[in-house]
Amino acid sequence: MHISLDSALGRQRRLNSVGESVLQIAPNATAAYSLRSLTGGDPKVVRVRRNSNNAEQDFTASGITSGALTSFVNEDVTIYQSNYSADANGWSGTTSSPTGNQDGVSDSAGTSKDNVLKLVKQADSQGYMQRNQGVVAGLTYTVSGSFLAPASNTAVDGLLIKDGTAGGISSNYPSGYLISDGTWKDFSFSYTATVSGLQRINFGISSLGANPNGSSTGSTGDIVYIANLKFVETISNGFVETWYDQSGNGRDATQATAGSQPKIVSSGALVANGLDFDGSDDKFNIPNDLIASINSASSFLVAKSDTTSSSRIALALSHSTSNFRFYVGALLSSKFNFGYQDTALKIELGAADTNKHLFTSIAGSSNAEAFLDGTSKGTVSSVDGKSTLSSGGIGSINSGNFWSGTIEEVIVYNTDQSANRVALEANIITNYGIS
Amino acid sequence: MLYLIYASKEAAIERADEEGKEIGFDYWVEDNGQGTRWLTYPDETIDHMWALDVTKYDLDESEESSTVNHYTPLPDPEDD
Repeated sequence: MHISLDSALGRQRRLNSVGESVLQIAPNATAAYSLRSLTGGDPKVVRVRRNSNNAEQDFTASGITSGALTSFVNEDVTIYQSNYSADANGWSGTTSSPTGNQDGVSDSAGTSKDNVLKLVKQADSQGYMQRNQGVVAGLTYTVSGSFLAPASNTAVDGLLIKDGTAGGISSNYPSGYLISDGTWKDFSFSYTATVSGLQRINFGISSLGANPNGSSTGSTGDIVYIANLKFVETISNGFVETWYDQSGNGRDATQATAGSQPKIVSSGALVANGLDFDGSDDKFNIPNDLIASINSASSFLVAKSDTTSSSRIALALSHSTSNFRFYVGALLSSKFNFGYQDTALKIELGAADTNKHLFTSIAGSSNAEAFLDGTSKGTVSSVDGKSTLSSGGIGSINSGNFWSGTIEEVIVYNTDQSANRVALEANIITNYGIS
Repeated sequence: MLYLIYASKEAAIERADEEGKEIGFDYWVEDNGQGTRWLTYPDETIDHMWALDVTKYDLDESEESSTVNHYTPLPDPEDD
């Protein structure tokens, strides 16, 4: 059997690469982004902002796998602590007339509290107050405080805390009926919010049973007092502000706008398959000097789309102006494509799907070639030139074509890496279980 | 969604900066030029104004009366 020198060298290279890191196989990347170590060490890989209080922290690759990242994101953070010393602290409601700064509020057992909120029911029909504490749907909160329904009330014997503002059945109130027997009562309960934003606290009339929003004759004028109300976020979301470049060149991918940061922890759990891009405005801005020309560039992208339609780009290294496209993982016309030079559909990679893929694109002085999961899908002539993006690059082109799905790894060279392609792809495919 | 429309990008960013400081994003807390700076960032409109998504902003009365529900973005010369 005849084995070409090329083939033999390639096989030897693959054998040599076992145990090597990506940047040991091909060290001169211009930028390398991943959640795993690409260096063989334990580099800083992401800077994460947690939803609860916007605190940020850097994490290494081992900090992600060890659980340190999720512990940081899910640290208990008080998002609201009432302060009724001067006023109602932002709580409002025409059906409850909330008034703060109530001192010396005593119960039938002689317990007295200062700086209390007073609610007076304004009609026999449903009464409530509401405020936006910053609750986010999908996240978990522990709510605690103290309350008093005076024994002189006609019908109101406590309160109910709602998940949002809508609905009138018991399940809309995760607190259930919190009942006072004319004495101050402490309460604490946990729930996972299903809606974001405004939340209501209703007068509780336990005799209404399964119809807590119902009317109760004679309840007008009934009173409830509330003190020391607290919302603690216990399960949160985490977002990536910086995806650190592991190449050693300091070309970090960044997103300083909170609303456009990809998610790494969702409802307390590490996102599967990398960073989650929402398809509407999430993107990373990358330095515009990752490549000098689209005829001297190599990129390796691991991404998973969650849709097979619309126009979405996972990685753009050069823009369409003057026909200098370099688009990797381009979902267009329900197909994956390599966008190059004069069209975003230059090399078709196959029908779009929602599986994880390795998208490889390599351009040298003569040709540009695209691969899907290590298999060549076509070759075209290359051209010299580049068009700089105004923003984005990972997850978008400028401010459009937003990727919807996950991106797990992006490695870019400003050189033709054909010689290292097989070894690099073997490393990546093995690591991510791509078939 | 609620938007405020500004004549210049700088004016829109100034308002975004104000909100970012109010929220206490890391960029403003650490004062080291790193970290999250804005809640939202302005987009250019088709008539070359700048639209800032202020849906989650703490607006004053004057701003509340000036918000719009939609705008037409400047088309990006890409991509089908």
